[in-house]
Parts: sequence; C-alpha cells; structure tokens
Amino acid sequence: MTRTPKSDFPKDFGPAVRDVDENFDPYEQSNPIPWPLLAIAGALVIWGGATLYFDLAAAPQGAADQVTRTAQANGTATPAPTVEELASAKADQFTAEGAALFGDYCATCHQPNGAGVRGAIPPLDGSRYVTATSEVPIAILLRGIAGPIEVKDVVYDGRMPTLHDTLSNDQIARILTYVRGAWSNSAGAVTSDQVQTVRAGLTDTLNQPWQGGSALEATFDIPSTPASPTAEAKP
Amino acid sequence: MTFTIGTLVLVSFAVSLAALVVLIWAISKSQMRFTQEDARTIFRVEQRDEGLDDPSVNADDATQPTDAGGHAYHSPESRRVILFMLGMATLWLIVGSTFGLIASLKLHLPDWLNGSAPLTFGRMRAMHLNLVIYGWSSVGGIGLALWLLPTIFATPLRFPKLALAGGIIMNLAVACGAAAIGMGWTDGLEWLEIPWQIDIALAIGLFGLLIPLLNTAYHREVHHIYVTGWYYLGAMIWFPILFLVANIPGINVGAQQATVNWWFAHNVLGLWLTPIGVGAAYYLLPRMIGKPIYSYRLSLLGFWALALFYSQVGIHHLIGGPVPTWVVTLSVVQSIMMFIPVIAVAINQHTLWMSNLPAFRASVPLRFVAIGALMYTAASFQGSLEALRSVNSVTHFTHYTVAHAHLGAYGFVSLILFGGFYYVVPRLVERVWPMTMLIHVHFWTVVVGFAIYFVSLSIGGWLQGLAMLDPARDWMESMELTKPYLIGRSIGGSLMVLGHVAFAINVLAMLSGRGAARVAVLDPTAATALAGGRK
Repeated sequence: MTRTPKSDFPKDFGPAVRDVDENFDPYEQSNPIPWPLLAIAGALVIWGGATLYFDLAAAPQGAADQVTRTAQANGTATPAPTVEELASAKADQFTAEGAALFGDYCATCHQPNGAGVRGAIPPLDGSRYVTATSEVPIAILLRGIAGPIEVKDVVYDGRMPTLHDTLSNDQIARILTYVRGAWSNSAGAVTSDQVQTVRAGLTDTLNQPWQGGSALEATFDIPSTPASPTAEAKP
Repeated sequence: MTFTIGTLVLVSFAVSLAALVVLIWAISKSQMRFTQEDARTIFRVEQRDEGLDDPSVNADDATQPTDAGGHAYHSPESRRVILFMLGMATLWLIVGSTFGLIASLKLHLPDWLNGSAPLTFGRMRAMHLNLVIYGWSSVGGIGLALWLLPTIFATPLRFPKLALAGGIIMNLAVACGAAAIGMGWTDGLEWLEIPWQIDIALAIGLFGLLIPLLNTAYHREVHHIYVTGWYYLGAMIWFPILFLVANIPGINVGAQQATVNWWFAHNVLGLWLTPIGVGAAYYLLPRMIGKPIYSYRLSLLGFWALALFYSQVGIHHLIGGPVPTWVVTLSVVQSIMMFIPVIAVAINQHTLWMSNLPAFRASVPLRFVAIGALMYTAASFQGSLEALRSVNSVTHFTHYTVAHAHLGAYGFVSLILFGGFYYVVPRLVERVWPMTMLIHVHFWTVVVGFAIYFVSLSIGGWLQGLAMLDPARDWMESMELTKPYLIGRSIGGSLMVLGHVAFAINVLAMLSGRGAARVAVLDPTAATALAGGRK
C-alpha cells in the first residue's frame, strides 16, 4: 500500500509541536567518539588497574591464614607447613634416629624401655643424671662410669663403657635427645655442638671413666633430688 | 610479586582493557565500517516516513510494518504469540506489583495479613520479585523482542507455533513457580527461589521462544544488524547460560554458592533486562522521534563495553563476606568500569530526545521510553558508586539497595516496556488505544509514585545505614527511624499499582477489540476528526 507523506507532527498534538524547527538536525554524518568519554575511560582504567594491583598484596597473606584455619578446624597438618612445623618435623626425625642408635648401643644393658636391670644396670627412665643439664649425660657417654652410682634410691656399682671413640658427637646428640625425651623423661634436646664443647673440655680425661656418681655430682653440681618432676611422680 | 589467581585476574582485566582500546581505535579509524547511514536501517526496512510516530493515539500511524511489496512482517500467528506474551506480562505486572505493595505495607503494618504462611512478608516479597522479573519483565521483554527482531530484520518470525508453545510453557512455569514459593517450596536463594524442578519447565519455555527468535535473526533480510539486534541477540545468548548455570542443583555449595547466586542475580539485570531495555530504547527513541541516534559508532562502544565489563559486577554484593578479596575487588573495579558503556548509551539516547523536547511533550509513549532511558543512566551511575567499599558499607544492607534495584528494574526497564507496549500493540492490532485518558493517568501515577518511592527509600536507607554503623545507637533505632520512609514507599507503591491497573484496563479493552482503527481514506483531516471525536 502506498501512503501519502505526512507532516512530522499530526495536528492533534497540541500547540507545543508547532514550535518545532522542522529543519533541525544536529547530527553530523559520522560523529566521533567524544574525547571526554575517552578521557573518563582512561582515568577509570588507571584507577581500576591500580586498585587491582594494590589489592593483590592482601591475597597471599589471607590465603595462608585460611589454610591454617582450615587445618585447625579439621585437626590435620597443613599442606604447606609453617617454619615451626618444619622444625618440629625435623626434630622428630632427629629423635627417631636417636632411638635407632639407642637400640644399637644402649638397649642391651639399659633395656629398650630404659628401666635398666634391677641391681645391675641403673635405669635411664627418671634418672636425675640423664635429665640434668646436658653436660652430665654427655660426659657420662664420653668417659663411661666405673664406680658406685645412686639412681632412684638404688646404688649400682657396675661399669659403663667409655664411648668417646665409638660414637661421634652427632650420634651422641641423637641418642641423648631421644633418651632425655623418652618414657617419662622431658629434658631438652642435645646438639652435636654441645657434645663437642664437653668433649673439648674433657680432652685430657676422656679415657678415664667417672669414679661413680659422687665424681659427677662434684663436677656438675647435680641436685640430690631428681631434676624431672615427672620422674618423681612415677612410682 | 608472586603469581596468584589475583595476578591472573589482573592479566584478564588488562586483556579486556586492551580489547577496549583496540575497539575504540577501530571505531575511530572506521575499521568497523559502521556509518551513520546504518543508524537509518530501522527507517529503511519499513515503508514508513521519518517524523514523529505515535500510534498510541494517532490511528494514521497504527499500521503494521510491511516490506516494499506491502507484505506485513508479522503473520497472524506471529501477532497472536506477541499479543499473548504482552497480555500475560500485563497480568504478571498486576499480580506481582500487588504482592509488592502488600509486602511494602507489612514493613510498617507488621500485624496485617499475618494469618497464614503464604501471606507473610518472606513469601510475599519472594513472589513479588519472581513475578516481576520472570513474569512481567522477561515475558514482556521477550514479547517486545518477538515484535522488534522480525521488524528490524525485515523478515517474518520463524517457527511461530514453537514460540507460542514456548510462551505458554514459560508462563505456566512462572505461575507454578510463584505458587510454589507461596507454599513455602523454594530453592532458598534470592533471585533463584523458583524450585529447580520448575526451572526446567521455565528453561524449556525459554528455549521455545529463543530458538524462533535466533532463527529469525539467521534469516534476516537486511545487510546490517541494527544496534537493537546486537543487544537482543546478546541477551538471548547470555541469559540461558546464566539461568542454567545458576539453577543446576548441587554444583556449588557454601560461599561458592553465594558467589554464583550474586553473579546470577546481578547479571539478570545487566545481561538480560538491561539489553532488553537499552535495545528497545535504541529502537523506540529514533523510531518515535523519527530521527536516527546521535552517533552510531558510540553505540558499538556501549554494547561491547557492557559485554566486557558487566559479567563480573555482581560479587560486590559480597563485600565483607567469606569470599576471596580479589574476587570482590575485581567486581568493584568492573562495576566502576560500567561508567564507560553507560556514558556511551547516555550520549546517544539523551542527545536524541533532549534535542526533540516538543516530541517528548507530545507523545506519552516517547515520554515513558525517554524517562526510562534517563533512569538507566541514573541507576547505572548509582550502582557503580554503590559498589565502592566505602559507599557499600553504609548502603548495602538497607532500603537504599531496594530503592536502587527499583530504579533499575522499574524506573529503567519497566518504563521502557510501558512505552514499548504503547507503541507496539496499536501497530499489531491496527487500532489506537481505546482510552487515551488512562494512558495519561498511567504516566502520571507511575512517574509521581515512583519518585515518592525512590526518594523516600533512598533517604531512609541511607539514614538506616548510618544508624547501623553507629555503635553508640541501639540497633532498634536503625529500624524505627525508617518507618516514615517506609510509609512513603507504600504511598508511592500504591500510586504505581494504580497506574498499572489503568494500564491493564487499556490492554484488556484493546485485546477485546475496542479502539479506533485507521480509516481507509487518505485524507488527514478525516483522521484528525476521528481522533477528536474519540475524546
């Protein structure tokens, strides 16, 4: 169908339409993108990039916290261990190696449970010589004992071998770290540096076994009551 | 800087910015070969003069779009499905906004209508939201698309029977969904309340409607796809993806689910209702005024910047929530980047109608669309600012957010849909609206009502937010101080519902066959006499 061309505005639209300039046409054939819009876009881009960049700093920190919290909630080890956990795991390995050495060199006499042999071999479990300052057990291992020694109210008079040739500083440290933390004992770990210090201090006397408990007490000033309260509590 | 997901996000942001720069360069250098002449596509496909076009009251304009041979683009079958969709949308508007008004009244009259569970606030509000989004806006928007796409593509709608079947299924699903919510059966997530079992039907109905539309686009008879087509084609691809991903049960739980929830909810606005509204405005404003948009190249920038930036916007609803900081920050940045497309659309659309104010005064449908377009700018600017952490911490859990949501979904989308209905229906049935007076009633009640609604809630919400942040004040104070503003909201809402009733009466009268038809004479004075006699 064909339609007659009609005016821009029908007559029934009221007087307002008659003010229209029929030739009004503000449009260029191709208007460019206005530069203020591009400027605004550029500013927003810079702002957005900066905001995202500065926000990244918070992300790794939050992630670590989240991993820890999740691990705590589940009661499991964290997949990414912290410095403390790593140190603890290394200490566990150190102690385990000490236990193996203990089995090789010590358990024959002192027994795997550290209880010794009644009337012949003193116990290590709860012994005040074991749990005293680390120099004491180090010195005993290095030089051995030949003389009476009172452990847990029982006097033993036997011979403990001199081991400074047999065992290295590191092995002594591992064995003592295990023994001082095993069973009811809870004395601190021993390092090979500590062993070396004691070994150096005893250079001239390494082949002379300690003359019993009294010699040790005189040298290291061991208290007469057991050092470890847990050892005392044990019947 | 260690490589984190945040770095990846920064890189993807940089890539999308690079894409934007290339786009701007290409547009500036005319690489895209879009000219202002393409903006006149919508005038060329119809054998229709440029100049003010208002079929709502002028019977002479109430003609179907036809090709050069005089064949109508819309077959009777296609017209039937469009009218079905628009009629159903009107029904959902009435029901949905009534539920909204009831929910609003309950906020300051808590003891009113609390006798049974379906009448309680929680269910009323959820039914309101789902009915106006999936019923009114989506059904109405698809109805408009069924008219717009064949018209701008100059070809009849393909598979109109499938579209009708899809429309019936979709409307049944919306009805069932609202009923399920009323009975207390929901998925328990905002915007996703409709149970997923019913969502299957909704999705089937949606596909029944979108397949004919996409097929029509495939068979288009025009060389150039007009900007409205980009927005509608984008929306028709984005929304099914959003809807399926968000509704498949059991994929996401906990904080992830909340993230997907808001990703979906905000994208329904930005990638579904916004393209429907902006696309319709891009057609209706130049069509009604009879002049092309200001800068066709700018519309390209507006569309692609929306596509690039919008999809990440929703997570700003989770500021302070148990979501990685970088996700939220990305969302905040993308929200602010939305200024770019919004300004582009604003320049294009507002320049057109503001330089033709006499037409704005003369045509009520044009007023609806122009104010709707203005509200799009306002809602988007406001929304971008609300995404900032500093503003969000005051406004988010208050009525301010509700006011903002209505500025977008009502002030923008619904007003444009009203204008679209007033323009499209007369051209489909070739009759003008029977009751011109009711169109004016509708316009003024809705505009005044919404102004009261928005201003009250925005002020009340802001004060509420400040009160909640003040540790020296009792929390109850933050609720009590909102009461006068909530009453204001109910007054505004009542006016809006009143306007909807006026609108629905007109739609009902129109569909029942009333309204003056174009007289067959080609004498303009006769048509004018008829128009005068109608009043």
